[in-house]
Amino acid sequence: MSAVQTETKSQLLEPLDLIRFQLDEVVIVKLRGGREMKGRLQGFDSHCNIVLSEAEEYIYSVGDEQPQTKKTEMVFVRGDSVILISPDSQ
Amino acid sequence: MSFFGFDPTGPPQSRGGQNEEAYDFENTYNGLDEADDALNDETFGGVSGDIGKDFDFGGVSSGAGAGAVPVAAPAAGASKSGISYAQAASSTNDEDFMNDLWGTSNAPRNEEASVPPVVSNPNERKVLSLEEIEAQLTAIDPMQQQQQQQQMQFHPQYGVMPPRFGYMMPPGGMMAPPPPGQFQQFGNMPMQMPPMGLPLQQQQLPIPEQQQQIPPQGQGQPPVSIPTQVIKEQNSSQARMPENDIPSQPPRKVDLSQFPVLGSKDSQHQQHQQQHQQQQQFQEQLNLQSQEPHHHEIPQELQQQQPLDQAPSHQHSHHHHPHHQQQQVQRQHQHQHHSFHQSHEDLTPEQQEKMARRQEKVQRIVRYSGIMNPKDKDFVTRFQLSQIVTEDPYNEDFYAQVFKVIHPKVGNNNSQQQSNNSIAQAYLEQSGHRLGGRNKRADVALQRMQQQVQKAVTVARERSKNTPHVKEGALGRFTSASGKKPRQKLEIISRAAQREKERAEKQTNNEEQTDVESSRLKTYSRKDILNILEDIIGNLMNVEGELRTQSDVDLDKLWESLRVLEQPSSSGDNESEVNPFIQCLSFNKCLKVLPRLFKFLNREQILTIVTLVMSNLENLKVIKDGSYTTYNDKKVPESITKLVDTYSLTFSKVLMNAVQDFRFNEIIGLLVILIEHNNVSFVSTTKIGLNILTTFLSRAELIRGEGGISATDLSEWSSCYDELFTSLESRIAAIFPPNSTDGSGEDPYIWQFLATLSLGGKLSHQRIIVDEVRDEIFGVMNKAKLLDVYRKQQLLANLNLYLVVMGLVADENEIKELS
Repeated sequence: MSAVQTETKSQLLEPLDLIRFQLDEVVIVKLRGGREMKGRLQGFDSHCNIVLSEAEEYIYSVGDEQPQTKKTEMVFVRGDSVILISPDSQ
Repeated sequence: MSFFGFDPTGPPQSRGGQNEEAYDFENTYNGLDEADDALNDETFGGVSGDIGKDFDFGGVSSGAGAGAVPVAAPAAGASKSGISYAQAASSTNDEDFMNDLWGTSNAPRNEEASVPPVVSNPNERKVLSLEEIEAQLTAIDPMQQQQQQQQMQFHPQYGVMPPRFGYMMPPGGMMAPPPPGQFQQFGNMPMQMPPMGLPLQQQQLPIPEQQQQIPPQGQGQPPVSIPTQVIKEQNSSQARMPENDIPSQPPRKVDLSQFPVLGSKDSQHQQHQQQHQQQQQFQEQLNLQSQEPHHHEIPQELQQQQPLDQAPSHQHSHHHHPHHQQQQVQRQHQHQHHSFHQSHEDLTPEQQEKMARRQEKVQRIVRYSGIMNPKDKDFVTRFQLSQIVTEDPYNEDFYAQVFKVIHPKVGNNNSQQQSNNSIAQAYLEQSGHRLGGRNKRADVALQRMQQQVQKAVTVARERSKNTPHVKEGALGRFTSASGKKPRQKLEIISRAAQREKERAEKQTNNEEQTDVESSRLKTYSRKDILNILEDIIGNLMNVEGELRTQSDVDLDKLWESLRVLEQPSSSGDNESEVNPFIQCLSFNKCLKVLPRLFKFLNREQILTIVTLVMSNLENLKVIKDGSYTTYNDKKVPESITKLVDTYSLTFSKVLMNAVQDFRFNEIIGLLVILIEHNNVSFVSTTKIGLNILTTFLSRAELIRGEGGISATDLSEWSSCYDELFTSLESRIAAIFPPNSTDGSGEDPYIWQFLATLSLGGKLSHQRIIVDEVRDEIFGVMNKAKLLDVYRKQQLLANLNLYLVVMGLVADENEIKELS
């Protein structure tokens, strides 16, 4: 299921471990260009390429009160556009 | 035996004769209203109306002209007893007592005053006469007949009591209630004091005491104190003793002013002072008068006696030494024996033995009597009453009110206060009879006690308004239930919630303790748990990977990563301190790997995990948040129901497989753990909880059906089942979540559970279950009528899962026996 091999067994936390702990949890991902995605984290790699399931994309534009939303069953987010990954606080 | 220059060798009679000149009872008694004296009956045997002014306390002559022949009484007493030893014993007892009571500051005075012969004579006299009464009651001796009659005049009611009973009572009991009014009367009296030449009535002091019962009205006294005191005495089982005591021990009266009265303290205080002034006045006058005549000894005595009375009221210190009490008792005993032998030599041995036995019995009874002084008793009474007092008696004591309507006798003499004091009165109606309602005396006592209780209730009510929690830990049981807020019958709170509440209280109360606790127990943040969980998954994937290449894999690492044994915990523990594996079970991804994980665990490890889960059932998110009862709208939120669904797909299946391997006694053990650590009725309102119970119960039934179970196991099983059933009983209907079904096929899990529960139970159990879920059964049948064929079949099939167990089958119209 996990796309990433979790070979790192050291108790020392790496920055990417924070992302690893969120596997199978709902996360919010901020992207360049004023876009935001929310979905269940299915996998990631060291480039922050991310696979989300049950994903929703929020597109903000000037003048809109509510962001446009776009639902996707499963989506691959390329890492170079990722600004921020955070757990969904619900 | 020489006391302050007294000539002890002089014949008692002469001393008695001197006394005669000090007082004339006839005069001192003038102006007192005998008729109003409520307790005269108690004191004098119900002939108060006839007593008039000429009663004879010495009991020398029968009634007629007692006042005219007062000399005879002391003379007779003295000559009859003739033992200065007995006198000394009794009067020094008094002294001891007084010293104890008031401290030693006035000791010298007391020493001086100790053993005034005049006083001791009547004392002695009394003893003897009462003994005689007893003796003569049993053996009629013509010689003593006459005396008996005389005595009977005054003490008929006490005939059965050992004569000196009152004397042996520890200080508390001895303090006969002195009416505040008593000394007022004294204050008025001096003007009428007799000239010295007149014969002294020895009972002069006792006489005013009788007046204590006169209702205080018209004497400017707050009415509070008298009844309270009197009743207090009566309240105790020794109700009669004080009265018995009175005639011989006038000095004690004064103590009373000290006692707290239920009424306001101020008034009490004033009263006290007033009283005191009057006392002093009286004494001064007394002194003046007594000095006029030329008999020095007597006035001196009187003076000394008086101070004895009054000193106590200055020094408010109580020192009760058991030692002294005991001494007293011993002396008393000797005393009794002495007089006993004297007066009963002519009795048959049998009678004597009888007497001795009785006295011994009395001694036994009396040994611990009076340990509590009236103050203590008052205190206890107030506390106990504070528990039954309500703000709104009419509503909260509905049944008592109804009872009253049915039996209007109760408390109709007090219609004004009736609504206020109905409880107290009802309470007294019951307990009062124990005092012996058959005779008049007890009725009086009862009335007094009612008044006392009414006052106590009033005070208690005022207090309880302010500090309701003071009641807690009070004497007697603390009753939290009332008419307004009865004890809840159905209380489904998860143990976790309960402990969280307790913990919160503890935290506010004692922060240090929680510090210690938290240092002892490891707390896990969400990140920690996620870390552990990723560890588990990583290990699991490694094991799976290695297994592809080699057959022998080290599974220890995987087991350790589960951290099942890392930290013990049970339901209700702080969420962050629960065993990490249990916390992991709240995550979807953990549930998903469970089936893969269990493949690599051996039987013992699985048993350990299941045990851990059973003791932590309420820590599981699906249980903790999975019960409809915790939500206001009685609906479990969607996120939880999703988790619950995952559980039934993963955990429940894993558990079911694991249970197949468990032995019978292991299943019993797991069930016991479940019952002990969790609120079963709460667990049963959750789907997963019911599933787990069903799994265990059905497995146990299967094993039982296979047979080959030892008798001990069987009995253990039945007791375990009983325990389970008891915790579910009367709450079975609660397992049906309301609004759960929108008409579609209901989950069969509830009916499955009911089926297995019925299967394991006896006929009586089944009957209870049917009783409780009857509505649900008919509800399902009614619902089935409205549905299309397919869903109707599904619904009825679920219902029949349960009904079949009892040999029944249902369609949409009726329930038939299974053919």
